Order: sequence, then structure tokens, then C-alpha cells
Amino acid sequence: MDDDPLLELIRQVQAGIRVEENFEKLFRRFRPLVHSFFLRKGFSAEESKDLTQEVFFRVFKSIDTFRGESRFERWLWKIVDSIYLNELRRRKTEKRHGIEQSLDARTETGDPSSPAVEIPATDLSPEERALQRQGLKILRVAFQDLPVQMRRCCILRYEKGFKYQEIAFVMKISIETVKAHLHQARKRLMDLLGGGPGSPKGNS
Amino acid sequence: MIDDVADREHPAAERLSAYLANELSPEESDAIQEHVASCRLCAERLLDLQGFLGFKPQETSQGVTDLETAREWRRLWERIGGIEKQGSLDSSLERGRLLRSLRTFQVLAAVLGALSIGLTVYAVRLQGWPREIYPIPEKTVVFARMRSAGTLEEIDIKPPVALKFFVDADYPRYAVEIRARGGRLLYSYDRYRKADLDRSTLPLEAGDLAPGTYSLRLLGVRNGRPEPIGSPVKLIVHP
Repeated sequence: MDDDPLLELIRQVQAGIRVEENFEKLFRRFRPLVHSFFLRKGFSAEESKDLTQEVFFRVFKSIDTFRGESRFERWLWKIVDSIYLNELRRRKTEKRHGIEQSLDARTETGDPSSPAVEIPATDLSPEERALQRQGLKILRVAFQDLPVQMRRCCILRYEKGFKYQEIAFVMKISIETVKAHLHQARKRLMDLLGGGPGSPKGNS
Repeated sequence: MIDDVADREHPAAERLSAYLANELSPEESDAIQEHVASCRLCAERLLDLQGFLGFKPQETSQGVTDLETAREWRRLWERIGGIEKQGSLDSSLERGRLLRSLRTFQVLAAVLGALSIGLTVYAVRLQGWPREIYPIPEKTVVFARMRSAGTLEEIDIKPPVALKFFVDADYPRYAVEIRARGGRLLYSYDRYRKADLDRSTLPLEAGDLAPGTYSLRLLGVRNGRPEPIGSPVKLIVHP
């Protein structure tokens, strides 16, 4: 493990050996990851820079707590996650909602496995949105009768709009299992809901 | 998403990463899955973690990005410099505190050490050296009533030496006598009890007895009357 150049770099910073030079290497190596994370979350370029600064400032302050028992990326993510959640909470407190706009963007990727039931789009009329909300309510009730894992897959797919691959990762099951669950669920829901307009459409 | 974060409790990053690393119990893992299925924020947090774990660093390309990175690095390092300076100030204060504590400790240790030496010297003057810190060789001398008369045991010693007595007769008190060849009494100690004989010794320092031959006797004392135990021992003192 000591042969890992990354760990060696961290050990040297922890030991106070050429701190500036070594920490700069660490910064240059992981800055793109952290900066792009905040950009992906919908923060502006300037906000992302500030949050990235905050992340690395905290990395420097707490580098001694990294023991190398797990990967550095996992440790780094915990700091990033903490700063991200704090920022969301701060904005929630300030009643600012600018960040929400970007989150819709992840469903506008044009990916072929994009969900059958979309999060309400802003270009829908109030009536259409009401119908969609009604459809989701019916679906939620119908999901309750499904087996646990099938229900979780359906929620992630039809309510949250996740891709098969993402569902598989989050649920720690194979993509084939996700597809099988969703296929079975569709059949059951069609039977339950009578194939009406509120039922989910298969697109796999 | 911004609403999600404050509207409900979310698993800590530690638990989410433990979930992915299969470090949780089945029950805890199921609880995370149930939460994640209904929480877009946490499902995305898991995907973010996956992104971090799968990150492959690339060589920094020259150009705008590199310039920006350099600028951001300088900004970060300036900020870190602030805590570094504070840190060194803190550590020098800490060092000062430590040195002061160390000096106090040294003074205390010196006082205690001097006190301990003084008490030891006083105790030695009062009671003699305790056996454990006066490790001189021991020589056992046997005084047996059953020993046949006329048998003279010889003991060769080279002081300093501690004489230890073994005796097979029971008396309330015992006495030890060392006499010169002419019979003159040189040393007598008559307050030994049996227990004293068993556990203590008679130390003889160089100079206590001049080199030569002496007579060593052990006497049992009952009702104030001393009785010789066995025959006297010929004590030969070497320089």
C-alpha cells in the first residue's frame, strides 16, 4: 500500500515534508473532479470555484485524519458531500431556489433509457401538470402492492427518473435484475390499472 | 433537491459509503436501500460517490484550464498560509507551555530526588544497609546440636561477607560470639530469635576483623542462661 504514489504524497503532506509542493500536486490531481462535481450539481462557475476552494481548504485542515484505511477518493467524497449538503441547507434557509434548475437538466440528456414517467416539465400546462401529478399518485399507491425490491426499482425509475444502470448501482443488483423487476412490475401494474392512461409505458 | 435536503433526515456520508462497500449489516443495508429508493438526493449521492471512486486523473492540459488551476492554487495556498502562520504561533505557544511544564517537573523531580537520598542516608545511618541494597556474598554457618563432639568446622571468609546461621535447636533467644584465638570476646550479639536467624545475616565488613583465625560460637539462651549449640566454628578471615 505504501508503494501507491498517491498515498506517499499524502503521507508526506501529513509528515510536513515539502507540504506546498505535495499538496499542490494533490490539488491539481483532484481539483477537476471536485470542480466538475459542483458544476454538475448546477452551481455557477464562480460558485463551483468557491466550493472547490472550501473543499481543499478542509482537506488540508483534516488531512491528518486520513489513515489510508479506505481509498482517498472515498474520504475526499465525504468532505465534498458535507460541503454540498451544507450549501443546499444554507440555500434552503435563505429561500433561494436557483439551484433547482440544473437538476432538471439531468433528465434532458436524450439518453435512450430516460424514464417513461418524467418529472413535470416546465412547458406543461397547469392541466397537464395536474394530470401528471394525478398519474403519479395512482402509481405510488399501486407500487405499494409490489415486492420490496421491485417497488424500489419502480420508484427510482418512474418517480425519480433514474437510468437502469443507475438503479442497478444504487440497489447493488445487476441491470438484468432491474429490467426483470420493471418488466414484471409493468405487467402487474397494467393488470392493476387496466392499461389506462396513467399506466407506465414500457421503453426498455 | 434543495427541498429534499432539509425536509427529511438523510444517512451520513459514512453510512452511504459503507453501504456501497458492503460494510453494513443486512438490516442497515436494507434501511439505506429503502431510503435511497424514495430519496433522489441520496440516490444521487451514491452515484456521486461512484463517480469519485471511478475517477481517473488526467495530465493537466496546458492552456486556460491550467492557468485557472494555477490561479486557484495560489488563492488556496494564501488562505492555507493564514492557518499555517496561526498554526506555527499555536505550536510555539504550545512549546512554551510544554517547556514551562518540563522545568516545573524537573525542579519537582530534583527536590524529590534529594529528599529520597537524604532519607535513605538517614535510614542507613539509623538501621544499617537493607539487605537488598547491600548485596554482599553470604556464607552459611551450621550449628547442629547433633554434630559429633570434637568435629571442628572451618569457615574461610573474605570480608565483606554476610554470615547466615543454620541451627537445629530451639531456644527463645540466640547469641553469637566471635572470640580471638586467645579467647578474648570481640563480638557478641545475643538478641536473635529463631525467626531472626532464619531471615537475617551478620554482616562483616573489611576491617571489622583483622585477617586471622577466630572462634565463632552460637549460643541458645533460655531463662537468661546461655548454652552452646554444637561446637565452635573456626573462622578464618582472609585479607
